[in-house]
Amino acid sequence: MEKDTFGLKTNTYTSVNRRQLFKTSLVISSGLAAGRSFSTTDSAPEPDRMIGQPATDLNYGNPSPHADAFRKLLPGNGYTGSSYSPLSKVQGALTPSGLHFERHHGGVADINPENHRLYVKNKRNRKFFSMVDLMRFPQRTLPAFIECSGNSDDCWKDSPEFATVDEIHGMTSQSFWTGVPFSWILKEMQAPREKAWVIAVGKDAPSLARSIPVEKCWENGLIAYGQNGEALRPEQGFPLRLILPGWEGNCQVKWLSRLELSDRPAFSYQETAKYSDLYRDGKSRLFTFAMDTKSVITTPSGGMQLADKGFHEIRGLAWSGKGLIKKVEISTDGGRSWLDAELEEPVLPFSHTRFYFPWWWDGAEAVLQSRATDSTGYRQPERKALISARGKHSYYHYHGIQSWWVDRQGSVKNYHV
Amino acid sequence: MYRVIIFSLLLSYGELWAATRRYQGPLSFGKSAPESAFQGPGQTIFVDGEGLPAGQGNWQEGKKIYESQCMSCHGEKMEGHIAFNAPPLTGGLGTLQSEKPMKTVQSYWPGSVTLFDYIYRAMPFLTPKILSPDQVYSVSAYILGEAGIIAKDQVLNEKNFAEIQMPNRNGFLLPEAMNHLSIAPGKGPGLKANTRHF
Repeated sequence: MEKDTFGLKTNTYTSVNRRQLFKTSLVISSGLAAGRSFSTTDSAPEPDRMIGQPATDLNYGNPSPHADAFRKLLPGNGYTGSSYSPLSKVQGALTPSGLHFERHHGGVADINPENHRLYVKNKRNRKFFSMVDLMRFPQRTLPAFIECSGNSDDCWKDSPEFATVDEIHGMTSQSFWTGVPFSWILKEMQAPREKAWVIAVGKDAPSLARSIPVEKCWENGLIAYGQNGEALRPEQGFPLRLILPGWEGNCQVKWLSRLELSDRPAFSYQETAKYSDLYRDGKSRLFTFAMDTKSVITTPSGGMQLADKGFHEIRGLAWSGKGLIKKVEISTDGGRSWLDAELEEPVLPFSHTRFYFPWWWDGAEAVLQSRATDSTGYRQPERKALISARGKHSYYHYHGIQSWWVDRQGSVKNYHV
Repeated sequence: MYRVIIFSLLLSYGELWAATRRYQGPLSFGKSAPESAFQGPGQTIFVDGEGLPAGQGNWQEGKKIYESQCMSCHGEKMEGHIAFNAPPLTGGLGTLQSEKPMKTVQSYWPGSVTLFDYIYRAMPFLTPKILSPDQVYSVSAYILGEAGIIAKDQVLNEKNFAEIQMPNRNGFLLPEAMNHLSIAPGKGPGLKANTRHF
């Protein structure tokens, strides 16, 4: 053992234990983050004046120790709780699997895929498939966002609790999902084409159950085992989850273990007591499956500070559970005037769509907004219009226009117009 | 030598291997599953009562089970515990149109069977599925009795459970496209089709 440049004990280069070296670099970076003085980048040689780290024998690569995009737990019980995706830090339209938001109703199930079975049932027969069986079925990959229908619920309130785009809107994420088209399973089940329901049940602690109209399962449902080129993450339902493109996250059952055909919904806890939308008339709407047309500016956004007057690219995300994003408009004057943003190609159905708008900040106050229109022609409503139709207590499915107020100092804040 | 010639002929005419063809038939994967794979705690129970397991329970037994299994999270008076994210089970009647709607089993849930179903599949929170059907009937009788929805001396079983009338049973609307759905009268919630979704 000898001391390295940073005064830390390490093996000599030739006999270096790479795992140890990686840990050491983590220690160094956390030391930096904590502002300790044992290492400074100033005193270290320039990267191009020293040999780099060897290729590691880590089985799985990690983000740079300097990377600063993290999920964060929302307040509440971790088992039933949620973590949000850092929309302000995610680049482009895709969400890295490790930054996908989480929402659980009884913790993350720990499942050995060798023992996992998908049980299917209709009136005539009962079957099960192993994971090996499922991987022999025809395989397809499709892009889809998943948004918790409770995303952005803070916006219903007159006095918002949250300040940043991550906290307010971070329960949406975009992935490429790989698995068996649901239609193949339905064929094996001899399922009817319409006027039937599939009750999907998870293998998590509460055996989360949702009733899904069979028409959607035929149309574009996927029984997924892959996410962004690898197996599903445990938090996303490893080894198997339901994907229903564009529909609220709760019905895309994770840790999927049973599919039962029925002539009617079960009216389960998760589709009546929860995930029902209480309107101002005191009546609750059931089965609001498709997520509405929505967009939000991610840069600049709440909690950020504009460094200087001058050019700033406005960047954001738009998505619709009913099809494609056709148009995103930007206003910098609180909705009085609007101009089209540039949509990044390819624009994919049921997917996060990245938009850009060039903006010159002259140092005056500004209110930044985006509004999306989808392929059905539906345009994202103002917050006031949404509230006047629904009231303030439907909790789920908020999709009003988000406003960010930029003050004269360039500080950006969450703001209701 | 003769055999080699025959073999070569077969090869050259492609008769040993099937020609390239797209398979479009059924896959016939999977094995037959027993009915038991769909039964037990976590099984599907419909709000009209189909799927309720046989059993019975009452308020007195339910009180004991509530105190040992439920109270630490849901509170002495079913008021809930915010730190455990355990919702209140009772209270909030008449608040749904107010500025502070309180959604509980008593004030919000449309179907009584959902109470049995959710306790049977998901509770107690840290050790789900440990309660027998009889115990779940009892603890349901205790919660519904405390909420004044049933009499405290009523014995609940798989036959009468779906007939319990929840206070907010008519508070739910279906999307218009689903207005063909109905639930057997007197069993579970009443449902109306909604004509407009904003």
